[in-house]
Amino acid sequence: MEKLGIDLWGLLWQAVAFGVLVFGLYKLLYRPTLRMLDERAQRIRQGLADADRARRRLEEAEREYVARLEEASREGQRKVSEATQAAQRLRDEILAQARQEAAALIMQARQQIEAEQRQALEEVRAHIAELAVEAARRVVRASLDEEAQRRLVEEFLADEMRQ
Amino acid sequence: MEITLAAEPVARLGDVVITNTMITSAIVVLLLLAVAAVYRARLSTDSPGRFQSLIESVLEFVLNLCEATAGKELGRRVFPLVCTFFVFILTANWFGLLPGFSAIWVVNFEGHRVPLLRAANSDLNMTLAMALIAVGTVQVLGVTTRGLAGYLKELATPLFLAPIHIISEISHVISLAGRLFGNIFGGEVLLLVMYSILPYVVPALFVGLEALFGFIQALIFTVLSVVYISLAAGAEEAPSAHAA
Repeated sequence: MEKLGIDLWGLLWQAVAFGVLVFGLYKLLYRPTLRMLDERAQRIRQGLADADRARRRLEEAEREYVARLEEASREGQRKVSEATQAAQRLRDEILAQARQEAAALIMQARQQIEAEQRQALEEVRAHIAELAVEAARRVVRASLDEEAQRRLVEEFLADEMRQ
Repeated sequence: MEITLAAEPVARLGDVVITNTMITSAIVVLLLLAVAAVYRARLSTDSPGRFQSLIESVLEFVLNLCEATAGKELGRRVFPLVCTFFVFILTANWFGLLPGFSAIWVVNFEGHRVPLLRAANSDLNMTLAMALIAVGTVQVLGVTTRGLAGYLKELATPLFLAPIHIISEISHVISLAGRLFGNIFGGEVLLLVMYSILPYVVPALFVGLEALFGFIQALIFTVLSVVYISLAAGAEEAPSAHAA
């Protein structure tokens, strides 16, 4: 042992020196560093968790956005469809009303025409009668009296009207 | 030129002899404590400087090694001891390679001319002390994990192999201490011989090699300590111990 240089005092000195070093480094180096590394790791974990949460929120917002977009699209299509149907109904109503009005106008015009035609016929008949009377008077003035002439004309006109 | 395995005595305080390796280890301890104090004073969570980043990277390297070998919980528990092994051995090994380290000679109380400083790990007392602490921790962990009865039962299972188990535990001390001492002492002798034979250029190559070996030896001591500890704590606490 002596030739190897091993002695109890030397061993104790080195062991104590090493022990002091372990204690000193633990206080000055290891404990604060481990605490700091733990804090840093915790902060990194927190940051990763926050990033993950933010990513999930973004995905959720994207899904919500797409859903709202689809809903808005469906709503738009529904409103366009409703507007088209309403316009169609309105068109049909307007057309029906126009047809009714046109029919009424035609009917009115026809009645007016018929009335005017009747009036014209009356006037024409009266005028013809006068003309015929006049013509007959002139023709038969010489042979018939006025009463006979008028009777003959009336009979003639009645025949004419029947025809 | 006289080469001795034992550290050279430099001074005497009463009956107590102070050797040059004791002085070196004390200087290394003070140096590391000073660096740690500066680090502690400048410690910043948000904006670490280069100095802090360098030390953090070393600590994280050893912490990862501990956690990967001994599991997260046990790895954290033994980290201060294991990391001190690594930091002290590495610093002491590289400190011994500094230019002028062996150039200071003094006349000791016996009238002999001796170097004032000598690499701390070229003294068996130093490496043995660390090996005893490492293996002592292994035994303490073995007892606390399994209980004294369980620890003794495992040591004596099967019974006829109990002496082998005990010798194995002792051999851990010898192998840890002897490997580190042998490499560092051999390196010192090699450098001394090289400086004597070829004092220019060539020793620089060997200094570089010794720096590499110093790192490797620090790593080996550290890794073996963690492996012994994780094995002692059992598979429950050290999931990757079998892989190591």
